Amino acid sequence: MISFILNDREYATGLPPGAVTLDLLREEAGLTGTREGCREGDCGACTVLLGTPLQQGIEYRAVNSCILPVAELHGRHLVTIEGVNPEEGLSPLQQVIVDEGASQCGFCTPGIIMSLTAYLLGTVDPDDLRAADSLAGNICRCTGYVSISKSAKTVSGIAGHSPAECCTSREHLEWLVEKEILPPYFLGVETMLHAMDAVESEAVVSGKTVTVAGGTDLFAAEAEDLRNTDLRFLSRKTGMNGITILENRVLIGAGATVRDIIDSGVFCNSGNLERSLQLVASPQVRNRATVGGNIVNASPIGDLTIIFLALDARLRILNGSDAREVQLKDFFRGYKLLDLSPGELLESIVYKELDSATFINFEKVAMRKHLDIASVNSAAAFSVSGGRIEKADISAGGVAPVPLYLERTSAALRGMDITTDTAQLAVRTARSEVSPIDDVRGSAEYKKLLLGKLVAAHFVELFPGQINAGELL
Amino acid sequence: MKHQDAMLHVRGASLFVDDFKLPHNLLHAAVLVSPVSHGLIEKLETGAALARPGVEMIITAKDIPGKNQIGSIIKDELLLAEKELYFIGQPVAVVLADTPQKARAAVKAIELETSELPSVVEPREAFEKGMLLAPPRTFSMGNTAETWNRCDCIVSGRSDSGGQEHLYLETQGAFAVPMENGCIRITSGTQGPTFVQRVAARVLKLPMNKIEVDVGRLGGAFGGKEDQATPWAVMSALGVQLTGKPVKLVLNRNEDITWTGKRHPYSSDFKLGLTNDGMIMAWEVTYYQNGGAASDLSTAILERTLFHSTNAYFIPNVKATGISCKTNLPPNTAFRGFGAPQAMYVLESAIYKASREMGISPLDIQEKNLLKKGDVFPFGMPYEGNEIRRSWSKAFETYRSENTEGRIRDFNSSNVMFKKGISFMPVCFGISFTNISMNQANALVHVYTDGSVGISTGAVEMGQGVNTKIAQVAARTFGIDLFRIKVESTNTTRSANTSPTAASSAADMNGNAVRIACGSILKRLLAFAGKHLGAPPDSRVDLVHEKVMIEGKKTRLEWNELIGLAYLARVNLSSQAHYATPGLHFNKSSEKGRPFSYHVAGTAVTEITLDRLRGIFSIDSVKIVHDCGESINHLVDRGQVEGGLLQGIGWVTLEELKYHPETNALLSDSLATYKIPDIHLTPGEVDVKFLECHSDNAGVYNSKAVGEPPFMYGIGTYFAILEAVRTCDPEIRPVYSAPMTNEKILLLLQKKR
Repeated sequence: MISFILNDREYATGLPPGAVTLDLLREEAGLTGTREGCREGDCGACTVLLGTPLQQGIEYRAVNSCILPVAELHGRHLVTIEGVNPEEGLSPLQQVIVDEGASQCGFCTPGIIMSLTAYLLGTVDPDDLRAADSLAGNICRCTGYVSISKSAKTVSGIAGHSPAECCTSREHLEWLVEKEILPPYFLGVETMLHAMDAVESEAVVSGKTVTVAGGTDLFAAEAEDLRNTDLRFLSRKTGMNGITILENRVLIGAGATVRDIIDSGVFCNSGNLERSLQLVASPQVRNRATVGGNIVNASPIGDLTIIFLALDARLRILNGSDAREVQLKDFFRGYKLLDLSPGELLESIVYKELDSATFINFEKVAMRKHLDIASVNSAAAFSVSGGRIEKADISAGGVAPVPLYLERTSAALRGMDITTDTAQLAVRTARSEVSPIDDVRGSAEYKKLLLGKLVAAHFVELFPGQINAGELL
Repeated sequence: MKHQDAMLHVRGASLFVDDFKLPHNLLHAAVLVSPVSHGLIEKLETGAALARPGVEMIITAKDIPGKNQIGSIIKDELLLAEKELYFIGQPVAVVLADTPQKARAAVKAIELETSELPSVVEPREAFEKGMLLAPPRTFSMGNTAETWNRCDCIVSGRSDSGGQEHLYLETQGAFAVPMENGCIRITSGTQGPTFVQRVAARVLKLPMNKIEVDVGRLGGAFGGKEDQATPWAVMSALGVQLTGKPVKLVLNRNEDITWTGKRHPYSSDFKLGLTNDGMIMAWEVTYYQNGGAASDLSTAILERTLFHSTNAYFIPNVKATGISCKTNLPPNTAFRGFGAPQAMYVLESAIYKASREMGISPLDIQEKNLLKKGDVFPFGMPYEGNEIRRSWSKAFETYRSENTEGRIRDFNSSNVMFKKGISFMPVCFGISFTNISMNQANALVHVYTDGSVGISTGAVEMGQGVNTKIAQVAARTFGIDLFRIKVESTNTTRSANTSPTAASSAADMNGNAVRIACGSILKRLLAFAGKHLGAPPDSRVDLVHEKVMIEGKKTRLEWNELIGLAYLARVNLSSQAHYATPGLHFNKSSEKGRPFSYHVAGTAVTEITLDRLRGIFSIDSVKIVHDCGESINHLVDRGQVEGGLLQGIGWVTLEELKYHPETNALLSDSLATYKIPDIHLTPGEVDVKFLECHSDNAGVYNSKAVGEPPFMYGIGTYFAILEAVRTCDPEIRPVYSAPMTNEKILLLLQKKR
């Protein structure tokens, strides 16, 4: 039995672990305020809150219930729109949406309220821009978002600065309850969770077992098949999501989510990487999608993989108690083919911390800027000394069957002075070593052209004083 | 005044089709569709699928008791395929099972073998091959042929615009339940309950009075549920008829995107003639409309294209020809704007091309040719307003007072990597169904003895706020508080023979019917009140803020008490009323008449910034002056303008339907591959100013329709991008092929290099 708290009460389900939470809510629990819009995590109409008990306090995150397997609910607090409704009337957050006219057909509205609620639960210091950013994973076809953006701004003002030091603390919950953004029962949930017997046995792994990390890609693609498959959930394995820095080496557990990386600040002095993470999927997906999943999924355009290729990262792979390391750039053998045997598990990713002489930049162009898969993405890291490139690591996605380390381009730049000519050499070389294909994200011609532009953009962004940007257009 | 439904929406308490609790014996339907874009059914074997656990029945064409025909204007579309298959997604069989999963699994177990026939997906190719949905039509005025030699500049060319998926957040769906005596009650996510009723009766071979259709609300529609909600509702009803059990059919997103029709792609040839000073003298255009495999609403949509071939401009010599081409795509259908956006895009393409040819700003041509009151449209109707020029002037005033032109010039001369572009987009959109007979609506109003009011009309609430406006009309007509009013579901037993909620006209027509019905009740109530209060005959009796007034003086009698007394005195507290939009006529053989009761006008000024290196752009601002008449509800109207704008921007920049070059299967078949605008695509600033004005022929209480016109403001973004591209390099030849995706922008920027 999978047991958890659903809104204000304990709930147990006999659904298979691989059933998705959206179906549990709508079909089993009869809570229809959570809506099915796309079943692949691309619209946010099914957004719910997932509360994970910490040593102290609860960490709440917005997630897409359509790609969340019910196994992940065990021992946690699941909150739907019905669970944030005040007994009567509307919460101030709900009232703002009504007042601004930010709900027309209303189908997406519960998801928007849940995303905004998650934003307020996840910060003690809300601001207008970030409140609007928290809605990047919620699609509305009616309003044009103007009224929704306004609502987000008003909402952050209503919540105001929380006296709590930490957003997972009880004090912060008390603040939001006092503001009537959350109903009072939230204050009793931590006790309820601790009283539950949420211990679980390690799953038996067979040859047919599918390993699930965040599941954001697996369940978007094949939720129906996974419903009745043996699954192993890495999120239930402890010690896989840590992010640590040891002797200039950054070690990121394969189970760390994109959100974990953002929150850890590990990218904060790494060029535009921190900002670029906002271009990875949506807030809901970032709360679930893991580093390991992004790499093992082997998508030729995985944003994180492209970044780690430029960081010249190594992977640590476990096989029972044995461990080995492999260069990330050697890990991909062909389309969706990996240097990973059955029984092996990606444990963590390691790279050398950037020093002050290393410059890094990430570029991504997609059909839509946010919540979209890149047409082409690229990352570049340059170690520079006295105006010369000592070492270059450039990667590119969307231009080959694998996430590509641009071997020749990176090598060609070694020892070169940073000049416009060098940038042009990089552009030419990069274009010559890729062979994109026509697909729904763009023609081969476009992707090749675009890659050159993104390589040029690395130079424009990193060395504006040393090159003539106009010549790179 | 807030959107009345929003109170439910924010609590997640509003019910959509898939949210109702249904009986335990409910059957779930899933549909087997054609896998080929053109072919023949060689084998259809359902035995194995039927033998699967939980499967109750599999319906094919031969099970249909009535006519296997769901066509609306032209009867050319089958509910279930018989022999020939015309598009990928054409329904072939319906499986009924006890869970949706089992039903979908059984669909896969049906043995369907097909042979393939050659298919056509491009409208020009269809035209060459004589594959038309209806004979071509031409609207003309003056004489273009004799005018060309008087023109100083003539530009001609081709302009293409792509299709657009509606992407209403609630997918298509319906459920039907058996009632006594062979009757069936359908709950459908449709904009046209009467159409569902009519087609269900036809297919099931029942009189219409045995089919009840009820619509609570839609989770978005935008035209996509005007005709194309029908098959799913009819299949559900058919399932009920054949099994005696309730049946539900809700499409998932992938099914919905793949199987249903979209906004029509158009490919057009144009020729525009102007004098040296920018006066447009002649306009010739041929629209090749990609209609898909059945006519659906294509011919009506093409007609609206022809009605809008000159948009907001006066052109003395016009020849506009429209051709509905039959292709092997899902039948394309209504989508906000209904053919007008395509027409306006072609004309703006031509104007932009002429401006480049003549070396002047497009604004100079646009402004010079804007319609004046009394100017005649090619279909013979004079323009009766002056809002186009007023909206343009107001928009231009802001543009000038903020020194926009200078600011952009300075920005562009001091920036290498980024360039700004600006455009003006005037819009003039005719209001009324162009099929005159559809311009009618009815309302049924009950006042209950406690003073509460229930209202039924043919209008369907789909987020556009029509129910809120209707409640406001009733409250205003009666002179009572809004909280007393409840707008009921749209139901064919209370509102019969209704037109679909479409053409932006639902609030106008249904609102007017409500006004008339409430007025009749009010008249009876006031007559009774006057008598009851002993007022002299012929006294002026009113109801203001819930109080009875005699000769302008408050009395002790208030609404609640009045109703109670009136009931006891046997006054009729209910009324049914009908409204037919006056003054409409159109002669299809001369193609002349007065098809619109009025026009809605406005102007949008769009400013964008182009990132030259990456070939991407962002929208800095869109400043709109919009004519909404005497708005009943500014909040609702503003929401329509903002929402329409962003859909229009999506159509011309982002939303691209891609098909497999050999199989014609839709490749952009999910939200992962078909991208619609998100919160970050919204312009940095959207400023909507309403042009308050009085028009003689406007809608209810002099308000104006607002649903569709703002969509076309989005077209401005396309031309703002072209302007920014021009600033990068005037030698780059612009392309007129919407959407202007990031890919197209980069390839365009690269052309010269």
